[in-house]
Amino acid sequence: MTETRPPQGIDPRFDPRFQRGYQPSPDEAASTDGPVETDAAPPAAEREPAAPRVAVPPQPAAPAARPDLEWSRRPSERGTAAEPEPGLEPGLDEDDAFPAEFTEDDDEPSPADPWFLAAWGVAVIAIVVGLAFWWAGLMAENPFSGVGQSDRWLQYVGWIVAPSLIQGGLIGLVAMLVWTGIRWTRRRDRGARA
Amino acid sequence: MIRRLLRNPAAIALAVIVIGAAVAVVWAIGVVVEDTGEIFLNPEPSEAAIAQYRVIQIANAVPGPATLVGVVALLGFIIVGAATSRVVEAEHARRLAEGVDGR
Repeated sequence: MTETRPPQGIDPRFDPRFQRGYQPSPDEAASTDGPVETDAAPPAAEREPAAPRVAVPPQPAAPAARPDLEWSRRPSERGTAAEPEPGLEPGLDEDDAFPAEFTEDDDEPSPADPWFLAAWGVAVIAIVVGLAFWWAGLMAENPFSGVGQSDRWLQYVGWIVAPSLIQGGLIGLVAMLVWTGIRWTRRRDRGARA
Repeated sequence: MIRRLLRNPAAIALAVIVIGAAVAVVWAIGVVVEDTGEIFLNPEPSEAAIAQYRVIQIANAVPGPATLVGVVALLGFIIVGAATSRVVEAEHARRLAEGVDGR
């Protein structure tokens, strides 16, 4: 009883073209239209030193642009490509420009912004409270009769806390004035450009 | 550029703070230096002497914060001036590009 055995390494249950060790016949190789990876070792003379062994799949065609999806179209296909957006720098590609809907015309808070007003308020309150503590500490001090025990805390606050409060408030005021001055200048610039 | 800077209310306020701080520092130093300490020689000082003592106490506390605030305000004035100068130059370049030179 003889058993017909397939070539070694070829599983008869599957297509031999996709199995290791498969060697196509000449007419079969001519009719093959797709890339076939063979693992059969070619002769050493035919072996290329740096030839890749992985078959390169065919490049997929570029997906067709859908008219309902703006992002699927190329910039040249978009309707707005021919018309530059307002504010777009000349020579700047549309894709490189910051989207107009995300640009802020005025990147500073308005004068009526509550946080901005709160900053002014904190600076003024710090100055007023510091001055009050300082004055109270000064009045509590008498070089001839000394300081009463009850006024000691007031004098301590007037010496230690009040100067820091006043300095902090004044520097805050100056900082707010600088910010306001820069905003005023830029607002005038925008007004002149408009 | 100076004219435009002087039209900026915040720049004017900063300039006033700088000048005021300088005046306050000079006044305070003068008061403290000229104090002879006579008030401590009289065991029963008058109200005027006590008021003078208060003034000296105030003058002692002024130079430090006034100097700090004056320097910061001067820096702020320079920063606002730099921003104004940049805006003026950009406006000048824009006018040149349009063919109209305002200067």
